[in-house]
Amino acid sequence: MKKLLLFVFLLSVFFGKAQFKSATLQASGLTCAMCSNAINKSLKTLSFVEKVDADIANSSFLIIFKQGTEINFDQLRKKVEDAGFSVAKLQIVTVFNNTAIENDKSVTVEGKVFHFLNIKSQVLNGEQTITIVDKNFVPVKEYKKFAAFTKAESFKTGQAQGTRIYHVTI
Amino acid sequence: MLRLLFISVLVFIVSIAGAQELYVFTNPASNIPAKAIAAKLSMKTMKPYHYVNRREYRLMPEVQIGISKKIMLTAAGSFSNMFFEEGMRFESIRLYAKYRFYSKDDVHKHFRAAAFAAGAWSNNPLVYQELNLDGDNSGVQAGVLATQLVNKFAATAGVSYIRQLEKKDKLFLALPFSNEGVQYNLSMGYLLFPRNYTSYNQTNFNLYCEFLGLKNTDISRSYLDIAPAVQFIFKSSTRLNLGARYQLAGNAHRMAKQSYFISLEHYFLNALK
Repeated sequence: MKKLLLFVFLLSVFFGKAQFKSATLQASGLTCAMCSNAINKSLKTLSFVEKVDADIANSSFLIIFKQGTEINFDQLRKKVEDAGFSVAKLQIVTVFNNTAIENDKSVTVEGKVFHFLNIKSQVLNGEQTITIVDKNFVPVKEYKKFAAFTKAESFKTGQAQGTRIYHVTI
Repeated sequence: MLRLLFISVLVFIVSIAGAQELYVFTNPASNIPAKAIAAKLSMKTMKPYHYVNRREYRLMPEVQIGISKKIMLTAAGSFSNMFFEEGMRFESIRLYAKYRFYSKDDVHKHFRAAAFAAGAWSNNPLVYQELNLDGDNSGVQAGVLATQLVNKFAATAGVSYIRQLEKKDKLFLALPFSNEGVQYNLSMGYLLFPRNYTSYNQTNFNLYCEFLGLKNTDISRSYLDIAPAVQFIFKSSTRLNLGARYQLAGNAHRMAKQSYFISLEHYFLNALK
């Protein structure tokens, strides 16, 4: 009986858990396949990346995450920068389960703190795409535009009390 | 030669629309990817003016290392039968470092600026007023580069100070040697094929046109070359370059006024941990 309860509990935890499935990353600063290949190979070295599909013409990469691994969005950005380029857009497909979000408020999803900007209060369920709007994840212009939506100090530093805060929008 | 010049100028007028900056004779302000190693083998050939009909060759093996996104290092050597030698022999070594200090990226666009420094040791005697660290001279060089890439078109401007370090007139030529000069270049590249990207296995074809100049600053000598080149990129990692240099103007004493160039280059991405 105890075991059954534990099983049900684990099941509910498993299904109740939010999940990062994939990301679409657009890089900037390149046009040729050789440069795109450098980013492609660089992203593939990350332990939490299962697969990368490149759209060379649009400098865009579909990244499938390995399930059950610790995903690090800053590492994605660093790999693009190491290849010599920048991130223009990073969108993450996340499966939500009754996650209530409010404008200019933080919420923890799968161990990551997301601070939502420029959104309406709502409850997220199922697959949703969120876009990171932090510094160096969007062009400077875009970053400045989002700065107008918050007074949070974390938007400047990307951190609050030593914790990484990802500023995102829908 | 005039026809070639005309064609290369025409191609550039037609094609100012849209890559590339992987120049055949010079460097862009961009670096190779961090943790990447590039291996390159180049050959330069020319008929030197001081023989009636002899072709000379220089072989230049080179290794480039991406230390970080901002710093890359290059180590190169050269072997040749130039400088009145009968056969091929070891000639020089060169070290080169480049630091990218400015980078602004947009989708399909970038502007970058970099500073570089180089030093070379060569066992060749001082003969010519052309100064270079490709094998001819022992010397030092430092300069800046700026690159603008827009869609399929890239242009780079570079200027540097070069100083040769040989003091002796080993061959007793009693010519007015030059110790220093300003090297400059304007390089342009265009990605011609593929017109549409579908995979990393497509062969890319790039056209280049570079203007390469030197103004000796201690004596009143100079030259300006035009250097057209074509480039094939295989599997997005191996490059084959074919190019030529023709002197457009100048009065500097040089080994030859025209030369031809071929190189093969391969990128090993993520080669360093």
